[in-house]
Amino acid sequence: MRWLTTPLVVILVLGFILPVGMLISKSIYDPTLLNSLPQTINRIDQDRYQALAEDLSNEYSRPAIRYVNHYYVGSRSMFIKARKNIDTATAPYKEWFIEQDPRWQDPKFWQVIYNHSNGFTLTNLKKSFTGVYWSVLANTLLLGALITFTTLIIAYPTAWYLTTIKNKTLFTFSLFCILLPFFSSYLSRLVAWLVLLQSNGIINNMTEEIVGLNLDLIYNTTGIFIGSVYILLPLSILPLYAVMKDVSPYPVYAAKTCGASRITTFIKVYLPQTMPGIYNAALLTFMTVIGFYTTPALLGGNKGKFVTEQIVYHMETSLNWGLASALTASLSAIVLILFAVYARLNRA
Amino acid sequence: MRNLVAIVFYSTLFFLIAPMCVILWMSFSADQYYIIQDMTYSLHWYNQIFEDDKWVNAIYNSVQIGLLSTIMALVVGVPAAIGLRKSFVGHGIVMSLVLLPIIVPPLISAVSWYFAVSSLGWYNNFVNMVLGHFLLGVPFVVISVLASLTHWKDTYFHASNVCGASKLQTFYYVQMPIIAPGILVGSLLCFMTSFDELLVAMFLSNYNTRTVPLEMWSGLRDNISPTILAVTVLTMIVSLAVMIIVTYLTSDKYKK
Amino acid sequence: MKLTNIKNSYILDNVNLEVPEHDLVTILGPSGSGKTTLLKVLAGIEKYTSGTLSIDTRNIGMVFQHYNLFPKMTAKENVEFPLRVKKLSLSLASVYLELVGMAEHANKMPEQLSGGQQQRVALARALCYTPDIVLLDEPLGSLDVLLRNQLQHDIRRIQQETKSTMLYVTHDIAEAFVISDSIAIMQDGKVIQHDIPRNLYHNPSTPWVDSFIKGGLSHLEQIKEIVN
Repeated sequence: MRWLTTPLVVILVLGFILPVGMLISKSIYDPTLLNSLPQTINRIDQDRYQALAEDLSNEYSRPAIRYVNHYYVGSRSMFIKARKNIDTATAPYKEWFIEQDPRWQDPKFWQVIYNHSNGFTLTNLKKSFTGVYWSVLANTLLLGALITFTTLIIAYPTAWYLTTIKNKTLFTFSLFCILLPFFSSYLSRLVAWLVLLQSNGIINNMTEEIVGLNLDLIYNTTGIFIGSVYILLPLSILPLYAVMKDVSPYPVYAAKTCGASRITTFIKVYLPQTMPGIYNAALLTFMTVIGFYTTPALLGGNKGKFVTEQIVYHMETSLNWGLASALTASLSAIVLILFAVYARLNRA
Repeated sequence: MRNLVAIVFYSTLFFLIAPMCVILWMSFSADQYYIIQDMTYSLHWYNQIFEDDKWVNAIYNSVQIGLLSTIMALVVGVPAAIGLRKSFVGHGIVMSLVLLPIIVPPLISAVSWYFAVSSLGWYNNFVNMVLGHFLLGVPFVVISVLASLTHWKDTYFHASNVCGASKLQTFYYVQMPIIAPGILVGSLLCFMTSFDELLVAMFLSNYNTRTVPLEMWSGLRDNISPTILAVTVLTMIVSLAVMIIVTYLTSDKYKK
Repeated sequence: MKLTNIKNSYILDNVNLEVPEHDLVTILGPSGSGKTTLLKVLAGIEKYTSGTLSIDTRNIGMVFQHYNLFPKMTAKENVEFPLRVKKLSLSLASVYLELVGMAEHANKMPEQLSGGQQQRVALARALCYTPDIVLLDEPLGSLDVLLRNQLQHDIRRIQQETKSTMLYVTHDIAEAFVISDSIAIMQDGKVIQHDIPRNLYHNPSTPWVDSFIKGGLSHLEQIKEIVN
């Protein structure tokens, strides 16, 4: 019977593991330069300028324009000019190139070529963990943690209360309120908040009438916060509820009859029993929130605070696919580690 | 103590449900959606959905892609679930693999697939979309069918064997009725996942295969037309219907 | 039906058994003695590593201890199932439902039937295509005592009316004594003695058989004493 599962496994490996693997490998191996300036790389220690002239006179050198520009900013113009005039190139080649643009002899330029000459580059990976990108990654993780924490703080008492509802209708109604947003398209939920949080939207209308304040609720971190918590709440409440409804009330009764105060009972007796639920809910929520794109893009004004936004930017706009894949790799690594922890926790 | 928590509870419920009610209310507004003073009502924006070509197209595409990917998910996922019923060496790994499309942030999947199809030179966007949505939705089918398989006992299989039935006959006459609710729930969830999916659509589609979420997204980025609210409400209603069906099928009443 | 030198990879160790036609033979033994495994080998559900079976495992009927009936079919549909598969007349279903006393519950779903009723329907389903042998794996094990007593008699009656060959597995010694034509006692994967009940009581072939039988029936002695 087990063989029935094989097609799915094969499909998932080919359709999931393989592409993601290729993506991650792209972040450290990119043969673009190898393929576009082969002679230059080959003869870099000999007659590099002549080799360079040979490469540039060919169409296959075109990708080098965009590629090198990522690592040596401004080289785009150098390349375009040289390629345009390549027919006039004669020996001595070094002088010809320098005449075209003095930067052709910049050691920093050749360092870039040298670094990428075997296709393996850690530059992108290093980049994604340093400077601007590191701060974006850190920001994502921090904001994600904050959002997760807030969601849990709200979800925990909600889940607990849900376990105490005896009235069947009330229970069904409450579950309905929690599940309906969960089953609705998340875009719809975001649209709802987009509308509500506008500076001339309903919420601000009310606050203006009551306290005369106009709040800045959208296109900033606050917007991201509210939207994310909204989407994540049902996701947190459900695992917490699942654990809580199986918690036996007897230890709590016992503690109370022993004279323990409510706080002590809670901290020492109830809370520990719900820990598995807390871990699950926290992990799930955190894993989901750091992968959010639509929410920060829509409600945060697409200011690039989340790693995901950076990835999309480099995919669509700057076309620095090496960097995009490196960023994706770093995000995937984090998510995969969290998933491994989650799988471990749930095996018992 | 309980009363304090009750306040939190009911506020949370309100927080969860209110935005959806507000949207419902505003979708009927005759003019710009975020002005509530002197609001007049109309069904104008709902009409717009069916008159505006781009929305009709988008709905058509979304439904097509959803149906196709769901059918594929069923063909591959139902047998997979049957194979996963009993534990075996590596069962845990396979289960994690099956859950992967749900766990991995959709952006990562979308970007990976984009690179994959460009390197492979697969430019048929429709097929790519169906494949992508199929991969995203198949875990739901597997999980739902697995859940309904908890009602399956090995003795049914032995009894059916003894009665002389072949494996196929056993599957069709005995097993199918038992997993039917799981199949239904799984396909609904799979379809909804596809219908709601934005990121894969963003990367893998072109002007021919625009889906509903994609139209909503571009509408939101450019200039917010209230038609979007109407579409939102309609998708909410569909979600509601799906939710009711799913909770009914998984409830104790049904299982008796 | 005959089994010769059946061996199995984990428990069955040289099992020899002959089951005369139209007889009800009980396989009796403590837990872990291999009785259920033996039955499963006969049913084709378990493999055996050496030995020979003289029956065709494709024409047998079987009643399990739990979960006999297909949950989404009515009682009647359950009984009709093998008839459909084997392309026999579907009217046989009503006949056999009548035989087991379940005619008026024909259109009920299994979950609407009690444990005893379910086992009756299972019996009808096992009998309706007149198999060469009917295998019963502790069919009354999950039922309460009163029901068990009633069904023991019913099963024996039905067996004699239909003249079926039955192989009945149980660990309840009193039950075995009451319904069987002969009893095969198993221990550690072997058939120790196969004889009529009275001989097992008076002429046990090993001391273990003696204490097993006497031990199992000791209650009856005590009850007799208490009552007299």
